[in-house]
Amino acid sequence: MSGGPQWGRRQLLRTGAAALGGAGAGWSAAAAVAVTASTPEQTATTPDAGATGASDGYQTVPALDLHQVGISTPPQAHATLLGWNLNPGSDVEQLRRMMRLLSDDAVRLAAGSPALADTEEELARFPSRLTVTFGFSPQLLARLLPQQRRPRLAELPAFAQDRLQERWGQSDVIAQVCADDPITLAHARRMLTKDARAFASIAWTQHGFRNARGTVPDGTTMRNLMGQVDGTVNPRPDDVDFDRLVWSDQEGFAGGTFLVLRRIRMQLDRWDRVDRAGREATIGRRLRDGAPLTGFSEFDEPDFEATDRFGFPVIDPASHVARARSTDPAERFLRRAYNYAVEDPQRSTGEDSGLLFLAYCADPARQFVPVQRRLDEQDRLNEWVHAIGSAVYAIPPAARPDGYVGDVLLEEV
Amino acid sequence: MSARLAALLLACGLALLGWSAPAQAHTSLMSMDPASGERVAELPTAITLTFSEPIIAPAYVTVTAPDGTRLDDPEAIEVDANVVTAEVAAHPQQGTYVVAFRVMSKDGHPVTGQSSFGVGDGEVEAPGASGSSGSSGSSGSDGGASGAAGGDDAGTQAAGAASGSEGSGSSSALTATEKVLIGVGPALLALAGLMFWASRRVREPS
Repeated sequence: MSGGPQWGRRQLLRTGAAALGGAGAGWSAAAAVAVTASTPEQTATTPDAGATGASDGYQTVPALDLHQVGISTPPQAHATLLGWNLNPGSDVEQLRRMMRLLSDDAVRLAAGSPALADTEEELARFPSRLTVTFGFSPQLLARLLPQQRRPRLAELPAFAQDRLQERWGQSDVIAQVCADDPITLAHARRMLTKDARAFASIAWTQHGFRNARGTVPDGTTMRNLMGQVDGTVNPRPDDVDFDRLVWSDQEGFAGGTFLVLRRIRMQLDRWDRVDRAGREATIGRRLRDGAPLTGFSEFDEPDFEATDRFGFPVIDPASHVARARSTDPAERFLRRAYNYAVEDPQRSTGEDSGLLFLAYCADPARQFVPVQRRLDEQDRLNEWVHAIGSAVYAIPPAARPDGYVGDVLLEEV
Repeated sequence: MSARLAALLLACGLALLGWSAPAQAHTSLMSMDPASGERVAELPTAITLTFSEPIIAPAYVTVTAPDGTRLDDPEAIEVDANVVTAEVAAHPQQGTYVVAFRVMSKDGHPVTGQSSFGVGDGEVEAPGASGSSGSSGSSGSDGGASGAAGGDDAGTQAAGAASGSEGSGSSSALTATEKVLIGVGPALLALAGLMFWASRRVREPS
């Protein structure tokens, strides 16, 4: 620097330039951070005060006459899937006894009452919409029931993209335990596993989560751990064809349904390298609000015919939303998925995370399998996700009065 | 206050402006055969596109004859690492043939572009925006070989020059407020640059 301070015109201009340059740099950095940061969810409806009121913990899901609960029930915040394998040599009577105990636990805990011989009665005080939903594997039913009493349920065909692991495979019995409160859920889990111990061993435990109750307005479509709005196209209980799509009409199984369960792992370390344009092209929906790329809001119908200036479809025909879409309206099912994320030191991220994909429908072979075949053949998303677990279950109708879940199938055998 | 400090601040500002997303290994078109603007004696039986990075199948390629006939076949497009080969049906016409492509990089980023070559002796025209049917997602009529990355043209990027393009930018539409917010920074930097430039033109007794 020459001589003392100089405030000639040149110096003024340069000092001003430096100041503005610094300000411009700082502003740009802040703006870049602000715009790329997540914006609060824009919702069409204002939050309903009643939905997130102070009495949430006492809220119960009432029993239904014909169907088990936990299927058409709006998904609660937390879920545990418990898979059991009956002890070797078990017969129908063992299963009946087990289901009587477990059904009784489920009814009491869901009502906010302690289970029989409950060791922590106080933990049953806040049912927080607890539901327990039971199911049986086709193999178990084949072992224990004569053919004419068995609901027709085929195993899933093999899918080339799957990388299935035995440890997440088919179990004899499943319980889908859901509640808004994780302590309530832990308590229910403990009572159920305690009462099943004499009859079966645990095949696996799969924990899942959605938003905590109150984070978003009830009914908001959840986001999965890839950041996508997940579950937009889904039959709703008040839709005209919900019953036909979900509930079986098989003789002797009226009111029951079938569950397809797949544990889908996300390779989030590789997904890190995909930018927003790539993520949106892969799915066919915008990240910000779940709108199809050709639409303006989440529930707009995608326009698969729309083309860009070069004549290519705006929504890639190989994108997930295009491949999952069917022209056959029968190929629909109720999705009731949960995110999962568990510690896994063997993976570079330290975590194994993904989606517990649950689909309920009246006929998986007709409704689910054709869709999964299309995705298995081609889906941009396959580059980053694959199934590591897969199973199917027959979900019995509601228990008879004073009965237990499964009695429709297991009594009078 | 030295000129060098001012220049350094400017450089930092510009660098910060450039940083908004991690560096991506997007693929880009390296060459096409026939090349952009090339004249060939006969229509080839296949077009070959070579990219800088491997791409994920499927790849989309369209080939349009001067009279508008489409000569590509979606079943006859092959992907082999970073090379896409698209079979072309025979066509008797001479003139400008337009090739358009859309591929997905290994990192998931979609890359699209358009190019043209000539069959015969006539001049090769630069490709205009090809007809888009139905409700198109593209932003306005760009014409010619260059186009701006439309904010609402989700997933597709504009062709830079006639010989292909590079993927760029985000696809979500920005609100007006966000556009203003983002614009202020560069505006300040531009003003700073002007002042610095003006200061260089001031001659003062040293």
